[in-house]
Amino acid sequence: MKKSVLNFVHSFRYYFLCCMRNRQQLFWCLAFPVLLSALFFFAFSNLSKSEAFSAIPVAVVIEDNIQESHADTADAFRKVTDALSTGSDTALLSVSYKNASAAKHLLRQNDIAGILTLQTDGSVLLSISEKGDTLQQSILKTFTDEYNLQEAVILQTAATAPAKLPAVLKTAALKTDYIHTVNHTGSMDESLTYFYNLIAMFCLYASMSGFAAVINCQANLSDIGMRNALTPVPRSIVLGGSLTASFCIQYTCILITLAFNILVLRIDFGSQLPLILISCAAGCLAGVCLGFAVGSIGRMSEQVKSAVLMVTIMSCSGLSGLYAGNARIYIEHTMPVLNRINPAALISDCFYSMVVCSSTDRLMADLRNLLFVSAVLFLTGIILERGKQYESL
Amino acid sequence: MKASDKNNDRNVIFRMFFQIAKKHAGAIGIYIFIFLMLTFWISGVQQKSETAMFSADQLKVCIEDQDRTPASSALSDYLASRHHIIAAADDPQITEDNLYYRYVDYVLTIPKGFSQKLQNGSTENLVSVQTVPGSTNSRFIDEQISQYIKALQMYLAGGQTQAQAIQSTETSLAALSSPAVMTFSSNVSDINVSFYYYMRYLPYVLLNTIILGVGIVLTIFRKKDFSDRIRCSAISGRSFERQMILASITFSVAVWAFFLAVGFCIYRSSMLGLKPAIGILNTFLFTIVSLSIAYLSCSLSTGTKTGTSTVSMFANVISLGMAFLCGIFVNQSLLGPQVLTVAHFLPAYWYIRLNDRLMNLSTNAIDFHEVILCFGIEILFIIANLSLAGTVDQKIRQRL
Repeated sequence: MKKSVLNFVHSFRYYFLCCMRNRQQLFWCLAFPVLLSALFFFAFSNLSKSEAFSAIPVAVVIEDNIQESHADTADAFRKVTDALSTGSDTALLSVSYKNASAAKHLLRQNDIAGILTLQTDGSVLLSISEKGDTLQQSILKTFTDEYNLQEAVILQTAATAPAKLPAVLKTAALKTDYIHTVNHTGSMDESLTYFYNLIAMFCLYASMSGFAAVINCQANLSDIGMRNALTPVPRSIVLGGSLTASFCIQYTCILITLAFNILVLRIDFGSQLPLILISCAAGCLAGVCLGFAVGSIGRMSEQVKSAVLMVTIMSCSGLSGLYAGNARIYIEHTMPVLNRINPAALISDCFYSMVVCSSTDRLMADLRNLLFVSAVLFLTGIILERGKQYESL
Repeated sequence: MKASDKNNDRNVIFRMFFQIAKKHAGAIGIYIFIFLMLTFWISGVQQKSETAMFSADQLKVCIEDQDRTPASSALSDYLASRHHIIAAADDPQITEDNLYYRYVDYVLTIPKGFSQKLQNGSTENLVSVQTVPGSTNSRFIDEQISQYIKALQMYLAGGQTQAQAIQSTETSLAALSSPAVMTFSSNVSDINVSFYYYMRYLPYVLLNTIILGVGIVLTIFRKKDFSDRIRCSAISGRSFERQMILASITFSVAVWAFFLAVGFCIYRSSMLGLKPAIGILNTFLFTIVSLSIAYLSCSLSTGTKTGTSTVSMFANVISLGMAFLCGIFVNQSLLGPQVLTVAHFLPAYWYIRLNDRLMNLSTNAIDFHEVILCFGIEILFIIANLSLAGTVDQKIRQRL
């Protein structure tokens, strides 16, 4: 028993040293995650701002003849547009008063989203460019519809029930706040999901180290494997020590990456440090087990197995939302079971549970599934690795 | 010795370059495959958006009608006629997930008593919503709901019953005119934007394929044993250098021509005219920039223990760095001002800047000052990279 422990420690120590001296592996496990996190930060830091509403630039055209012949209507329209363009946060429009040709020139240059022209019948005509921002155009259309609709109601009432006109005008002038917006408890910053998926991918990078550990025990694939096959130490102990070392190294790398994200980039990973550490540990464990399982498959060459592993990591990360942030939710609505067995999706959902929805139950379910997936992968590795003999190479 | 043998001897380095490159074709092929997939996907998305005529944006709305009255149904129907309706989820957690991942843009709850409040002329908290606070999407639907309720209340104030008010509002809404769409036919070129999107992603794949292709081969040629063997052969140093330069340029131009040919197959009609010609010249210049970076990467990795792996690291870091910082993956307009300031010191920034100007549909006029500026800075980057690589090589030779 004591000898087995010593062999385990020996195997652990030397595999750990091997990994620490492998600069290439250290680059991919430590420098690359830190670098990619920084690049993600630079690229996505403005993503939420691009979604935020800002006043729509628009030109208002009130021609001189209308100003003279329909002075009241022109003044009323001017008051409406002025009211809608006041307030730095609440303004709907950013209005500039122009003549028709100047407004057209601005629209052609894409400096404004549309032109609001007051017509002789009191209605407002919206002119837009063929290739403008459709969402801004849609909001302008809603505004002109509202204006013209109210105009129509007033005219209709004046024609059919003139006695009710004051009441209608009073209603039209009322300041309204029909909509009550329910506040969210968690963050709604969509860019966070890219950082969570990035950490998930780097947890799965632990599989590269686990994969190398298995290859080092396969005599048909590596010189170290041949050497290990000759030792009187059981393969399970050598493999156990190597896989544990893989886990420790990757976990350390992930913690450094996480510290960089939290302390330098100020990315929100929640405030429950123990749960963050547990989530990362479970993620690294899943990664090592994945590498162990893929490395144990059949007697294919190292290159083929390595390609299978990379495709698996990138597919898991892609389905979890690394390339398109909302991929996860589309899978949740079409094939939810995939989100329960995809380790990358489970790891990123652990962080999501902590930061966005503050649900410990969901976090525990994710961790449970992650451990289950790790156990299945580990057992697969053991079953595939168990019967291998290298009597003649 | 026969003339053909002499000719073969003259080209032996040139041929060897491509034999080594062929052995690493797998690594390069992955990038080409990913790029082509990306291109076809973007092309499909763009064509879809370009063929559409103006119509108001349709968002994904979830409606929970707790009031179940004609007035609440009318409001639901009004929104349903303008947006995509997504079934409401029973679990609030799922609703929150849907909103966070933008599967749903707007969750509207029409509470009990809505109809009564409407009738009473109440102006506050008639409906409650869950949405991404402060977003343009939420503002759009807020405006639509307010517009509809206001019209209903005005008709009610005009003495109509609720049923009449609903009917009148619907009639009035149907009678509203569409906006006038200005085409600016004399100024808007009918270029295919997809072609410029195609060119936007080119630097990423050019950097990867050229740094990996040229960089790895040059690194192998610089290995001590390899280099010593060539030195003691009958090939003169000058001939070796000449063949290497020629092979590197041939490889890079072949990669550029391949992507241009792919572009030609997909966007044939969009590649004619002065604007596309400038764009193509821009891609050619960037190909040479990539070659100079490959040469610099190779110089920096010469003498390192990892050799070709270091070149692979350079390829990944440089291509991803430029892709994220210069506006290849994320539009330059979405990048922060500090990021753009840093990006000025990278060649891809100037490539993308010119490409974005060419893509601008609002005008057909070409700003030649901008073209010369971007081309000039790209050429300066080529000179700077080659000078730096030459200095590094000289230092390495002195050390040896």
